[in-house]
Amino acid sequence: MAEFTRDAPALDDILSVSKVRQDFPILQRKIGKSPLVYLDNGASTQKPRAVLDAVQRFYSEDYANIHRGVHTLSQRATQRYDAARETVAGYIHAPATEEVIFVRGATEAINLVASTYGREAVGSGDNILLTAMEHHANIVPWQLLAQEKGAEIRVLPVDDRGVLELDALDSLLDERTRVFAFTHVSNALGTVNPVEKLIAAAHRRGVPVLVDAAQSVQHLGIDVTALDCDFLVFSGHKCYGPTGIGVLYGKRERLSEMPPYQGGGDMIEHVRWEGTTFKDIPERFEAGTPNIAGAIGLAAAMRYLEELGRERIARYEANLVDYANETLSGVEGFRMVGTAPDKASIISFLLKEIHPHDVATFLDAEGIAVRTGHHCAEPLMRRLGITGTTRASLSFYNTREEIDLLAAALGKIVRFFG
Amino acid sequence: MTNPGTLYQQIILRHSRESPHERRIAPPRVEGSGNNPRCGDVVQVAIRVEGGVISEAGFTGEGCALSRASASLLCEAIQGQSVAAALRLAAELRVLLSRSEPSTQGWESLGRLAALSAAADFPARHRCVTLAWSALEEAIRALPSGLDVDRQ
Repeated sequence: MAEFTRDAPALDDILSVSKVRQDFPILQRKIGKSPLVYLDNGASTQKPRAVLDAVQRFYSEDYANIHRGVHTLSQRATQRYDAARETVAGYIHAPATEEVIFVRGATEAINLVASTYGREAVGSGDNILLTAMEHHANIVPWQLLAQEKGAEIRVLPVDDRGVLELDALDSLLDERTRVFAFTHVSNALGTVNPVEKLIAAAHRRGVPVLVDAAQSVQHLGIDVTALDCDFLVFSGHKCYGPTGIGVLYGKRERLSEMPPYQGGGDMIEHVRWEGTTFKDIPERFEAGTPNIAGAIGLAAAMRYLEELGRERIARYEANLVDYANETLSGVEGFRMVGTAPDKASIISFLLKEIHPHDVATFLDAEGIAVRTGHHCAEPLMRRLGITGTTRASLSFYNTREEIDLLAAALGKIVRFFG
Repeated sequence: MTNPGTLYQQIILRHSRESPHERRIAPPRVEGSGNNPRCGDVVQVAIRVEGGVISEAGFTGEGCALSRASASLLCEAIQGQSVAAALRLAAELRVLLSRSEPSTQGWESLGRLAALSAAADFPARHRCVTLAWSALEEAIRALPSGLDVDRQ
């Protein structure tokens, strides 16, 4: 067992993890004969009872379609949906509630911006700036747009540690840059990017920014007012909410100028054969019956996180990641991939020459869930000269004992493959 | 949960570490590749066919122990076989892997390929095993039609 040398408080002084674990029913289950050690939180987080109950209660007690009927349930459902939007807006410090658009997830949010704002703003000869550590979801929608418009995709490079090379920023941003879209936290490496600096550099050139907060909103807390970002996106299921719900935040002045994304019910003012007029934001971007229960579940997740205390969550997770780094570094043949000084709760690694898939099969046999492969960031993997990694991504419900189990299991795998 | 140790028998580990079949074979040859978008792994299989018989086979690429061992065992198994027999082998392997109740039955006739039978218990790894076989099928499809294929 690794001796934890850093001057750290006992984790239980920060957060009573045994109590927190009681909030997550799935953490009590076993995988085969082993207790579940869930270290795949970067792919999706488990759901607290507060979220499960909120969804269940909504369907059992208040469910009907929204914005439609004058009957009691429709009104109640509408109120709950609107209240969910307020909760989310409060959580990310959006200046106005209507700046929060409910979508299916971060992927849809980026597609929405690319195909509305992007389609209006980007023309032939313009460019779109991304970074070398983007998730495919923040690459492909822009590639499709660039192909359609004859625009150029530019890429801010990363160094071998997985840190953005900020020196290149000024030469990449120019008067033809129409958007700078980048991730707050790398899903593959855990690198925390200097968002404030990136936003300031873009805004000095008058370039709007889109921040992909899919891997940061659950760890760091987000203040869109302080960040002054034009767009910010995240998925509900990665921050303890249900699947199929996500958020696009956009500044009012940006959203108001954007054409509709999809056409349908709920987003129109009047429909005539001669033409249709559209509602104001947020409804303009929410065609059709939305994921009402999903939004309510997401709001419950955010209330749960607020109650736990975002600052406490961040401190607990930082402490746990330090412990994990130190413990896992003691495993023979362990090589960390991504060694940025500022990292969130993601540990990407290689184990000797053993392929990540082989590692994951052994870990699964001990109930340990990790993600392997390129983590939907193939260009980043190529840049680092590898095809993939094994990734352990942590949450505040994980424990030092679980890290010890991971380390012990990795040690066994190394001995097996010799 | 089946012990993953059963998945990695000595024969699998040996073939994945150093395979005599991991090499580029000299032309004339046809090539196919199999890839797994889930992990980014790619295996290429090249064969030389003479008179409807696979006279030589080799593989290249990057992959896990299972996919490499499967590719190596494939090359070993198909050399000297007719193209039609190789295709039958690929089909048979897929059927054996995907049976709802995995067992060692049916694998006996496949010789050393039977070392892959444990993978049937690990559905998440089926693609690792079939990667090279997809590459083989692609290579066979690339053969000039009717020329060297003995389609009985």
